[in-house]
Amino acid sequence: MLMPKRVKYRKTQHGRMRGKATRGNKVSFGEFGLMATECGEVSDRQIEAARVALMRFIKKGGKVWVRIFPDKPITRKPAETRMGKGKGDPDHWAVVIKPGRVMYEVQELTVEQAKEAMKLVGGKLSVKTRFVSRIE
Amino acid sequence: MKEVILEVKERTEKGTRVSRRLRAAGTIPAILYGAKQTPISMGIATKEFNRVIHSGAGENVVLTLKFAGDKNEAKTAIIKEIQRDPVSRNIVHIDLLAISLKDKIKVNIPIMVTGEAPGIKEGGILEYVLREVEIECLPTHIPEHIMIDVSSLKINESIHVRDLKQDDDQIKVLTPADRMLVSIVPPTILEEPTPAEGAALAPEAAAAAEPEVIKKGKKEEELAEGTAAAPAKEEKK
Repeated sequence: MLMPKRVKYRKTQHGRMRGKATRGNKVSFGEFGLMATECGEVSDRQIEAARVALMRFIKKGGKVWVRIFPDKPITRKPAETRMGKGKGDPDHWAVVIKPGRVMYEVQELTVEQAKEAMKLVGGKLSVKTRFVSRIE
Repeated sequence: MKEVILEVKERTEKGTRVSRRLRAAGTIPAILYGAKQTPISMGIATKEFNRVIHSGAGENVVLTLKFAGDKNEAKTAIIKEIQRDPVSRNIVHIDLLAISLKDKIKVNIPIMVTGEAPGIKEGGILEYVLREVEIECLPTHIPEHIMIDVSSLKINESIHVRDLKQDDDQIKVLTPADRMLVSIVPPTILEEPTPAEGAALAPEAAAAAEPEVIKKGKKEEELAEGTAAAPAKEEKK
């Protein structure tokens, strides 16, 4: 699974998800992309599942860019534990997604193929998404 | 470059609330600036501007701005920047650069690819390294796009800026000649791990479940340095 090689702190606070994506909100590398239309957390497993689904769909016909990286540690307390006694242990990694963020990009596919591929990818993610293209 | 006449309305009121009201009324806030002139705030009808940028030439158009109420005044400008809402992609603001038709200007021109490359037929993928090239020329000579013929490209071959053929001598390409424009790369093949490989990788994955914490690593280094430096001091004494 994707995760940082080195971190400054093992655990982070929850934080808030406000506003829209001010960076990474354009199709910059490929022809078509998948944009988030709501905020949320996307986990490392979801990113990987979506990537695998995309690669299986396009086989060897296109090029793929994954533009998000899970850099936020998410902690979990063990099951049947009483509250308190400190913060839980790191469980997995996630990335905070804001509306407008372009998460995946593809190239060398027709519009119909790209739409079908992005539909598959969107199904693996926990945020609502929309198909976008470079030409607006 | 295509020339378009656009009617605009100068505005005196500025600020967030005024701009929001303008957008709700179907007008995009815009500003015109350039050398030898004071910036002018204005409003452009959303429908009219969308018609201009969807007319085929895209954002590469020379605009002749006619100010409402002032029949004599007309200014020439190009689109410098279009700000859009990240989600709805509606235009939020437009920056226009006032130009003189007699002076040369620097603009970015998109690259268009033509022809069928033999490398793509063999299974390669056409990769764009640059999608725009910076050129310098008179506003009347700005091309809508620059065509690149890829019909001779095989896998692992590329086209650079120096390979661009220029029919018009008045256009000077400013992008460095050694920059790559497009190349044909071999396809990436998805290799799925076999169950045996997957089992072998599992212990490694478990070991790498937590990344290295920078702070902790530094402390250890400092301690190591401290212990190494202490005997050296004793020797000096």
